[in-house]
Order: sequence, then C-alpha cells, then structure tokens
Amino acid sequence: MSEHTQPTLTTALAILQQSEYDCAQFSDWWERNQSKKISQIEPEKWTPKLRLVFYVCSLLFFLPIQVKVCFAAKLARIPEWFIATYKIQKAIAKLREAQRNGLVVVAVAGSYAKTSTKHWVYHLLHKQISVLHTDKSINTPLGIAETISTKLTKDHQLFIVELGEYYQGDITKLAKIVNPDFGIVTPIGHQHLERMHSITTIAETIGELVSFFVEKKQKLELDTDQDLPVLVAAENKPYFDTLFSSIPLKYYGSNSKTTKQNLHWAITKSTVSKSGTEVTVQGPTPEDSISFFTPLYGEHQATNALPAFWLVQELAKKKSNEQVQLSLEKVAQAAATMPYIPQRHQPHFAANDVLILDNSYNTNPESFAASLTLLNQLKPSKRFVITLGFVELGSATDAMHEKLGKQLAKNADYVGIINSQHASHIKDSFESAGGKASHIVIADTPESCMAALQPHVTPGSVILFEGGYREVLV
Amino acid sequence: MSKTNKNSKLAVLFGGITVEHEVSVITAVQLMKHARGNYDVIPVYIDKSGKWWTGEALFEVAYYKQQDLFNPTGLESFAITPNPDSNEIDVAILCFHGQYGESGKVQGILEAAGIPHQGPGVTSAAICFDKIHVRQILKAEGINQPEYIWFTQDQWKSDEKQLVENIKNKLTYPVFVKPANGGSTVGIQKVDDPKNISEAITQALTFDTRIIVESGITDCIEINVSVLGYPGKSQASVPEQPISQDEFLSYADKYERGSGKKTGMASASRRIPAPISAGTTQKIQELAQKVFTILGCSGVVRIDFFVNPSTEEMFVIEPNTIPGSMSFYLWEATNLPYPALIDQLIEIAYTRHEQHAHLTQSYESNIFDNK
Repeated sequence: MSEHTQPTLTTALAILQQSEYDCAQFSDWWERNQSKKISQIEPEKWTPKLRLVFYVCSLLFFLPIQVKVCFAAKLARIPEWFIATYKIQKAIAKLREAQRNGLVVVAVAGSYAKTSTKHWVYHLLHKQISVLHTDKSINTPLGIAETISTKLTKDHQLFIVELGEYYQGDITKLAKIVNPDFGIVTPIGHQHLERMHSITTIAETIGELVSFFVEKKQKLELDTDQDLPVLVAAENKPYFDTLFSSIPLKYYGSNSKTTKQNLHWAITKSTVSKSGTEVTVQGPTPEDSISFFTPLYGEHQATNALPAFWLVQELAKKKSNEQVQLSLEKVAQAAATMPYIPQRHQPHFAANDVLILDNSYNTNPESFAASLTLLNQLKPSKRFVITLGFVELGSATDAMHEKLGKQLAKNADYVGIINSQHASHIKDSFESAGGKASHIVIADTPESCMAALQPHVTPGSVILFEGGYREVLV
Repeated sequence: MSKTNKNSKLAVLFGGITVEHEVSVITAVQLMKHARGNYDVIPVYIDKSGKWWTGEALFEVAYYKQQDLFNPTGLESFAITPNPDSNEIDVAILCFHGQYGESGKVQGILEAAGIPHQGPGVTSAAICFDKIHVRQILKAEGINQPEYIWFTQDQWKSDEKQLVENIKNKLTYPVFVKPANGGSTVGIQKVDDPKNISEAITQALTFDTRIIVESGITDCIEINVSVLGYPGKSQASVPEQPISQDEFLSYADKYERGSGKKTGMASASRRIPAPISAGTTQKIQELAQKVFTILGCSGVVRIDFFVNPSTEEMFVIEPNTIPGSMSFYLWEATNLPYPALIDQLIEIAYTRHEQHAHLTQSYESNIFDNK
C-alpha cells in the first residue's frame, strides 16, 4: 500500500489526464490538494501525450509542479495539433469515400445515455445490417478519426458515432467531420455544468447537432416540409422548444414521464423484475406497437432502444430502392439478448440473492433519480446506495447534494458516502430528512463503505454503486 | 387423512458407488436438516464400497469429513428386505446422484420391498439416466433437441474413420462428446476442432461403452427448470440461469466453485429468475412439464435447456431425475419452502404407491386349480 505524501508529479499527471488536459481544472484540484497528504495516484494510461508532458516536466525540474505541468500540457498541444490534424483529415477522406458508396452515418449527442444508446442501436441492428460504432466512450475528433482509420471497412453499412461536448462548438466541429445522415439527441443534463456554466449553454451546445441538420437541409435546398432526420429525447423538449421554435422536431421517450407530449416513438408500458424489463413501445402509426423484453434493468435503459426503431423506419425510406429491408420485429427480438452495458446499472449477482448494480460510470441528478426508481422497482429486502455524489455541477452543487440527501432518506435503507468535500452535506441532508444516523457511513473508498455496511446486508438486498469514484480527484 | 403423515418413518437414502458421492451426501444432509422436525428421519448411507449404513452421526456433514468413506466407522449396518411389510420404513426419499442410485437400481429394491418413494420409477429412472435413450424418445415425440450421433465402443473400434466423418457431416462444430450414462457433467467434453474429436471420444469411452456426440447450440443461454409431481399432475418452478465461469458447466463449476469475490461477497452460481421474458418463461415451463410427462418422471426433477431468448427456440439438453440439492432453491423462489417441498415429495411417493397398488397385478384365480 502506498504511503501518504504531498502530491507527486505522477499524481499531478494523473489528475491532468483525468481533467482531460484542462489546466484550469487541474489547477483547481492542485490548489485544493497540494498541501494534503494523499496516496500517489497512477495515471489511468501512459499515453504518448502524457509521456511527452512527463518528459517536458522532467526538463523543467526547477519549476513548481503546478507551473511545469500546465506549461508542458500547453506545449504538448502543438505537436498534438499537427498529428491530430493529419489523422483527422486522413480519416475524413476515408469516411467520405465510404459515404459516397452508401455508408449511412448516425451521430449521437447528448449529456448522458449517449454510449448506452449507441450500444443499443448497434445491438438491435447488427444482425440485419453491418454496423460499426465508436468504442466505449470515444467521442473526440481524434478518437473518432482513429476508429474510422482502423476499423471502418467497405462492408460496413452503418456507422454510429458518439459526439462529445465540453465546450460550445464541439458538436458542430464533430458533426462537420462525420457529416451524419441521421442524428440522435439523448437527454440534456447537468453534466459539465462546471465547464459550461449554465444548462442553457449545454442545451445550445448539444443542439448544435440539430442546427447542423438545419443548415444541411438549407444547403441541399430540400423541401421545407421534409422532416429533419433527427430524433430527440423528450427530456430536451423544454430547451429545444425555445432554441428551435420554428422547427418541428420528433421526440422519443416514456409516456409515463411526458403524458402531454406527442412522442414519435414512446414507451407506453414497462414492468421491471429481477428477470429484466418487459416493454411496450408505440411508433408513429397504430401498427407500430411492439412489445419486447430486455435483460437490462429499468425503463430508462429501454428508452435508449427507441432510436433503433426510428432508425429502421428512416433507413427503409432512404434505402427504398435497395435490398436493405430491416424488420422491426427482429429489432424487438434482439432486445432479449442485449448485453449489459459496463458500469451502467450493470448487475453482478452475489450469493444469497443479493444483487449489486454497478452504475459507476457517472451520475447526475437526472440519472440518479432513475437509479432510485429502479432500486424500488426491484423490490429488494433492503436498499443500499454507495455514492460519491455529483461532480461538475458548478454553483448548483450544494443545492443538488441537499436534494440528493433527501432522496436517499426516502429511497434507501442504508447509504455509504465516499469521502469528498460534499460528503457531510449529503449526510446532514439525509439525517434532516428522516434518515437514521446509524444507517449512513462516510468512508474513503466504495470498498470501505461496503465493508462498513455489509453486516446489514440480508438475502434479497440490492446494492447500488452510483457515480464515478475516480472523479473525486478532480 | 393427509398422506404426509408427520409421524412417518422417512428413510433418506444417499451416497453410493459414484463419482458424485459427496454431492449426494450434501443433498441428503440438507434435506434431512429440513425434514427432521416433521418426520422420523432414518438416514441410510451407502458408502463408497457399496455397504449400507445408518446412524445418528450421518445427520452432520462434519462426520463425512472425518471418515474414510470406503470404510466408515461408528455406524450400524442397514438392510432392506424385499419381504412385504418387513421393513421399518414408511416412505423413502432418494438423494442419490450418479449411476448407483439415480439409474433405477435402488428404485427397484424399494419397489420390490413395497416402500413408497418419490420416484421416478425404475423404467423412467433408467431411461432418463441414459442420454441416448432420452434423445431417441424425445425425437420420437417431436421435442426440439440438438442433433446427435451415438455409437458403441465396438463400433468405434471397428469404424472410427467413418464415425468421425459422420460427425463432421451431420453435426455442427463445436460438438459435445458425452458418455451415455453418467450424471453431472463427468466425462463430457466440448470439441471445437474436428482434429480433436478422436481423442475426446477415446477419453469418454473410459466412462461408458456407449457414446453420444451432440451438435453445439449457438446464440443460446442455459436455462434450467424444475418440475415437481408425477405424470398427469405436475408444476414447474421459476427458471434459473446457471452462471458459469467456463464455456459450459464443468464438474468444478457445479460443485467446486470457489467464493468469487465481488465487493466482499461470494458470487452467485445461478441467476433466479433467469433473464428471459414472461412469455418465454411460460413456454419453457410448459415444455419442461411436457418432457417430464413424456419421460414418465415423478418426484422433483430438473430439466436443462438451451434457449435462444430472441427467437424463443428451445432445445432440451437433459433431465436430472434427482437434481443437486433437490433444486430446493428453485422451489423457494416459487414460494415453496424446503419443508413444504419435502411434504410434497412424500405425498407424491404415497400417491405413486397407491396408484400402482390399484393396478391389476395378479389374479385371484390360480391356474394350478384348473383341471
């Protein structure tokens, strides 16, 4: 076990990498932690970029760590820019050729559920059509370019690309690279609020995908009555009604959440059990009523399948003169074998009928609510939640954590809070909302939270790990 | 009067000359623990050399850990006589796994002695224990199952080349090579490459003189369902999905799993209920009951399937007439606690016995009286 010392250069590089080379974020962490004694943190991966930063820092041994790390990070952008530009241009050329030969590109943007949606669309369609998707959460220009360069082949008919956003303009930039035929906009949430400062800015940034299609339609001088090839999560309607007031958009989501909306594809009924989720969906016409089962847990997961149904109908229109005829029935059948998505309510089955739900990829106030709903739907003997709380919420952080404490008091029997600057705030709110002080623990790691709570676990318990622990460091 | 007389002298028979001896001991000890409060339980242990014993010590797992199971000490010899009404046993539950007690032999002894037991009876037990016979009967009844080829040791010796060719032409690799008789997954091998088939068959022939080779099934998950009852009256349990570390359930997977740690807790070895839809669940339960009836099963049986969750295509893999732990965990998940499951097994034993007693088995008249 490593000893606790003041942060080392290695730790600083790990934090820089976690901050995605954002000097402001790195400096914020450094100023809060530079005088603390902590265990050394290893970088997640020693990438060429991180090695370059390390070598530059080694040359600048005489400077304080914070200064040299930031300087080296900025310096590394110069060669990175040249390499990235070359790789991206090369990838664009390859992609355009594939598009001329019929490849259909689908772009997925949104604050959360992008990766899940991408996996759903891939799984539901890949037995009927040759599909490529960007791996894991790759959603940057370079990451997408590398996928195109190394994985795209002439056999692929559909390419699903996840678009990431940290700053305004990011989605426009990525959309121009991939030039999508269709767009899926997953829910807008409070993630990256720290960088974007307001939910409106986040909505505008993600809405750049819609704007891309508006401009594309204008450039191609398409019939104004023709729908935009975009499907938007119903949660985004309040934002997009303002941003795109003159543009009719198609929405998808759950009728249980949005009873007054006219959704293009909607979940009309869902039942969650320990087997999985039984779902009924309704498309634009009465004939488009389909039921399916998925082993994934929760209506929120099944909602991510809806864009696949929409896409099948859109592809049928686009490919009407060719031999590609996709079956909605087969799409529904494929849901029964949908693999669990790592760290997105991924179940682990423990002895004595204890279910561990790993939702540790990330969390936000919206997805946390869905997690707590799921926790109750599984009807556990006892409900456990282990969480760090939220990150990147900017000025809304305190209010959101207060609300979280109240939600936990209502929806969890036992709570483990991973130690951070917000831990005591969540605990206080939990207790003031009626949660028992003996039912909440604060510990340094998810494992130590679990160890403290384990004596209370009974057969049939469900233990939810919510949110990314790694991000406590930034 | 209820058939499950709480004062019944209940013999629990287990052990025997089998590679699954220890598993049988665990099944029996679990069952006796839940039966003792309600019945006068008589443990009947058959050691690894085939001798029958009884004694108080047999109720505890610790006893078996301390003993040479070929020659246990501190027990009384036990025997069953075939003379009617000469045994101090009202009813029996068999907890054997493997050839010795699962293939019909012990069932025959009990039936000759007129002792009710949960079943299946001799014929069904023998058929269900023979993978080739099960395949042939299910094929005749139009039940979906993997394609197969079977042959004897002599046929293999005389015509190995032709049989390898037949396997290649008729079946789809990977294939599973199985000894015809043998419980659990002892001797079963998965063969991915045709060049390894001869070696696998040669190895399987050390377990039995008759071999069955089956096509592998793709895009499927393993689903098990337990059926409780007797032909004509049965119920199916909630389905389970075994959680395997290996590609298919090996002996080690089934019985020697370590405590895989996940957040400090041992991993489950099965998922109950299985991750299939309500519609698929109902269909597989109905199919399990159908197979149970076709094979003439009774008692508590577990039938293993491969199921494609998307297409709902189902393949019968095998019946287990005395499943590990009597599949009590599936019945608990079906709202039937273990003591109630034992009550039902005893009720089934008496019902079967009475049904057979009412059958015409002899005539009053004596042909020797005819002149």
